[in-house]
Amino acid sequence: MADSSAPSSFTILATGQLECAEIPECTNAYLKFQFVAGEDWQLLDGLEEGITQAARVPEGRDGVLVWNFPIDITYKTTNAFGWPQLVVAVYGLDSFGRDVIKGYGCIHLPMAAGRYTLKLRLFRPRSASLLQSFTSWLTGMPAEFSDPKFPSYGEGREVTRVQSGGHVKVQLNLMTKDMDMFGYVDGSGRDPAVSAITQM
Amino acid sequence: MAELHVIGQIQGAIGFPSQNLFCKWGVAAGRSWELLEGLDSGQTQLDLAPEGEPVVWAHPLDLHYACRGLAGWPKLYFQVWSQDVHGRNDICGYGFCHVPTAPGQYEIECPTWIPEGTAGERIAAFFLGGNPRLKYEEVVYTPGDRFRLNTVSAGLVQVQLGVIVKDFERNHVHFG
Repeated sequence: MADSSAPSSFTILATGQLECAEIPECTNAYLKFQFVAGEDWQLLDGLEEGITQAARVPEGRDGVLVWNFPIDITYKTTNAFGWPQLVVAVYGLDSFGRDVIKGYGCIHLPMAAGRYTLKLRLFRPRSASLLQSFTSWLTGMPAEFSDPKFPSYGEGREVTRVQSGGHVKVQLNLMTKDMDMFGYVDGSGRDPAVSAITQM
Repeated sequence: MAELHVIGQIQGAIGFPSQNLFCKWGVAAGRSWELLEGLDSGQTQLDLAPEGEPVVWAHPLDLHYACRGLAGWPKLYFQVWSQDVHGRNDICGYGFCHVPTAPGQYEIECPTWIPEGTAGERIAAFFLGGNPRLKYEEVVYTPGDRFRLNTVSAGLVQVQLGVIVKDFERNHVHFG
């Protein structure tokens, strides 16, 4: 091993939970999540996809669906391009008891080490016509994305018509290893409030 | 050679007269910047948001630049468009913001504006639709003569960005 002092990759570790969601007119839902990362990223530990339990809003209290589902994932990479994204899909029960999509959401994992509370706003595809929205209500099959990773794509979004509503709250702690030795500066040691005061 | 990663999301918009909006976006950088990986322009989904809520685009941005000179630091520019019930698209706002020059996580609210026509044009637009548009869209992000342009302010575009840099400190560049 010629030069063992210089690491050939850096690692990020994200831990946290899918905490809860608030979705108007939805009192019973579960969430499917997956992590999408670029080609240079390798999963070291943790589950890249999963499903939470089905949660219900309690009677007579604030309409919050609580999942409290643990997230624990470690990635190794040589390139910051393709930074992992968390894609979620929330499914609820309609009035006939069938699973219908309530919303998709997507966010990048934070890039600087620290503790974060992320809010993923949800959106779902709109039916192409009034007739289609009526038949989808009747059959319990509203429009869904055929590719569950679609919310993480930067291309092909221009032809999608969606409507938004509701959000999912995610708590995440991020740690990184060897990023500075790899040459990256992520700004995690800087407090923007402090540097603003010292400028005055 | 130094590298810059801009990774984040065009989250959405707030404060526009319509709640049915999409955004055409792009990134402009100087001649000494080379885009190594990622897309530097695109169009978001068309979202219909409930009254009072922000419009949600959640459009991921992942750009990897190589930098040979600091001039021409990348900037993001936006055109916010609305669609009415008949499916016609109309411009709602132009805006731009620089990618922050220090590494870290940022939540940016970018203000936008639209060109305003004469009183006669505004009356016609009230009945027929169709807001005046810019002929040369570089005016949005290029410093130059905007003297004859009359504009009115429009809503805010919300962007969440993470910036990571590589080898800038080795070239004696300070971010503060």
